[in-house]
Amino acid sequence: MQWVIASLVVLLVIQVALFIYILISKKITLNYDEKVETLYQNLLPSYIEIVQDTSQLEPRLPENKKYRKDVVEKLLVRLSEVTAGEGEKARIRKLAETTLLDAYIKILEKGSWAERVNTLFYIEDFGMISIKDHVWQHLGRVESDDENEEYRQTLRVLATIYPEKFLTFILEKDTISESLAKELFRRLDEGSLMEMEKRTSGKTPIAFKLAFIVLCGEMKLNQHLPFVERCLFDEQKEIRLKAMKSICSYQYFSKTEQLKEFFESEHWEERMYAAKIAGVMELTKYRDHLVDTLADPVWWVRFSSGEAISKLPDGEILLEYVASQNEDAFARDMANQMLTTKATGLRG
Amino acid sequence: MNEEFFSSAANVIAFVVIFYMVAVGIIYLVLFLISGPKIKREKYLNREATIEEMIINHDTYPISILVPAYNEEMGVISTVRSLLSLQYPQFEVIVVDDGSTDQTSSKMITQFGMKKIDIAMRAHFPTKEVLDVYQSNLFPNVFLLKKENGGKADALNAGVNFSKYPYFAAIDGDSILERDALLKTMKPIIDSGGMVTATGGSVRIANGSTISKSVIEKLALPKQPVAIMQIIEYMRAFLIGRLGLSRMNILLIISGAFGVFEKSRVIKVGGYREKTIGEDMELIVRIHRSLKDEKSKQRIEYIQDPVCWTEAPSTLASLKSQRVRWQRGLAETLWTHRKMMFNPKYRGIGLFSMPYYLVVELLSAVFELIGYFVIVFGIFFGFIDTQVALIMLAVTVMYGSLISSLAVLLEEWTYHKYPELKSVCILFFWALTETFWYRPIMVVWRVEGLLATFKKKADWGNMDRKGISED
Repeated sequence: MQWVIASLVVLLVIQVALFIYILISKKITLNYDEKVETLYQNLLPSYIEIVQDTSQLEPRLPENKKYRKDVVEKLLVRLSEVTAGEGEKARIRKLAETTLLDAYIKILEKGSWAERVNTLFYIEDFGMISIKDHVWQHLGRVESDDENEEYRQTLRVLATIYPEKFLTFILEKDTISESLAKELFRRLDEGSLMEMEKRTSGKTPIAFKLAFIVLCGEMKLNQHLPFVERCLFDEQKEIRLKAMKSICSYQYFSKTEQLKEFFESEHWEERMYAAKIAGVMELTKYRDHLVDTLADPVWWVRFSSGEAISKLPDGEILLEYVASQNEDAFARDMANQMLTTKATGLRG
Repeated sequence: MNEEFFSSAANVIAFVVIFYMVAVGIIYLVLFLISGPKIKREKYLNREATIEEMIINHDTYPISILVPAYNEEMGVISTVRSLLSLQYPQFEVIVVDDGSTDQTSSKMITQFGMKKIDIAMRAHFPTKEVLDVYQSNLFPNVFLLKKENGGKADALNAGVNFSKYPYFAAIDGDSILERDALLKTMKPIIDSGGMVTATGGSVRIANGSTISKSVIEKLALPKQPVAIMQIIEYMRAFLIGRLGLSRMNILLIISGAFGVFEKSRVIKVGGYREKTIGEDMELIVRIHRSLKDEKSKQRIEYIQDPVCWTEAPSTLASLKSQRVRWQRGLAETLWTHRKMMFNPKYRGIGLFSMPYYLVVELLSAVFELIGYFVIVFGIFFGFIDTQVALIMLAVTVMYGSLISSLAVLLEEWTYHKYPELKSVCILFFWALTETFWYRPIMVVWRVEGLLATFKKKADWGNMDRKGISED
């Protein structure tokens, strides 16, 4: 019996201790946040002046390193959100590099997981180039798992501030997902993108190639359009589809006569993209093909064809004709839907 | 002789109940040890930074938001307005009016300037007839389906048939999503490259707090003890139970209040089951079943961030109705999928999750009810040793309050915690009183729910609402 009572007393003590712990830690956090907020409000006017280059006089910062780091971080985050000019960005970078560099190096080496991830986001936001070697070293310490936010962000930072090392590293990897690859390539400068195009023609993992093709269209990189057009006739269906998706984003394609064969493809995805391209480019010469695919067995092809016809100059009349005269019930239904529905758009 | 027999029997029952309570307490403790480190690790994570990229990313899949509604004239407009203010690159809102007898549809039509459209609808599943489809002139991504009454599952299936995007979110008409809820909930799906097939986040109770246009303006505890107790219950269920199970990929519930699903997977498993009350849990169990049958590596994931705010029943009558329904839903789902129970083919789901929901979530009410009888009648008629009765009482108090205290600790480590010190005191105080009034009431209702399982009739089960958003 005694041990039961003893266990219950222990449980009670644990609860009381837990209660006291939560109260104290909450109080400490509330006080800390309040102090950081006060410092932030006091320092904000001076920092605005520095970033706007109307003053070079740096205000006195708190002695305590943690307060100093947190308040400067808060100030620079706020200022980064509201500034767009190159000069202002450069001054924010300079301020970050003068006040936060040491703290960030220390966090990358010894900070908690959440601190490291936050810091990596700030390094990218502030464009802190001078820390690039430390981030490169940090990459070696991070678990290389696509779903690990720290790994993803380390790669994003490197793509932004250290593209040369990043390219060497990334092109040797074969496990990165297509969507992450796109996020990373989006950060590269033109020189690195040209290098990517050269490499993707070789034995690069297919995920990189697919990501690069789609990204070219999304970013409307005209210098890479010939490459994307070449990919339209690749042996691999996956590559052809990504190239068609990319063309939809470009809204331009130099060899429109070649679209015909895609309308007759055995793959429904190719018929769907052919319809989409004809729609975004308003290619009236494919009017009859679009009416045919409006009766396609696959709903997505019918839907894309309907959307494409509605984008043509005489689209509404054509849809009315199909809705009343076409012998295929599916085509009539889709034409009716297009006539009565406002377009909400679908991504390619 | 008889007295001696009753006394021995009562003592044996008492020890069985004590053993059960201790075992359940240990299971919760283990789940706490699994979920706690993840919450602590992400305690200071800047969540806005991690979803920033998704807003511009073309790989952030567009999503269809389904709002099944039955006699929701009071809340449907504010729900749709709050959905329109969501931060997400591309989405459509589909309100499915399941044959309401009030002004649900006409209010939608007037408020959003809707006009009738013709639709070439795909029928992934058969549903009751869709009578009319409307599209808003003001917001072309808002649709209204008017259909014959067929129940919530049927309404959701009709919404899935109509939807055009590859993922859909199902949301209750009385819930408010946070502005970045879709981004946060879709993040695991996008980061995993589609390996996550369904996600859900924490649902929090909005009573007492101020919400306007999907933004939490003031976080505060409600005044009614019944609502405070439900807040503690939700913390316990989501932060300890669901997160713990999710980390082992054996989570069986994505809350009906808000969840995101891969449409092709839901179509593959046949959509929502119509003849059940717990259609949200039943669907998840069926998805798990299909994943295991296919030996698929896809998974179901829960995120601990509070993304959805809901109005808790503040009257005992509506709370009773809710709990009876939950218990019936749980019992029906476990019965429907009884072949998975203890079946090694379904690994963690069959060997741990299903037995856990049966023994801990469903039958705990029965064990606890027996416990209360033994304590009260045992002491009153002198059948059991007073010391044994006291141990039972102490175990019951500890079982409830310790787990609740741990849940409060986890809540302190998450996003959107209550900002004042006194809220911790209030939560702790009510957690300690739980055993003396809240749990006994819940136990009785849950047993009623268990008995009601045999009635087999699915309905909407709407409750009286005051509305949670000021918008």
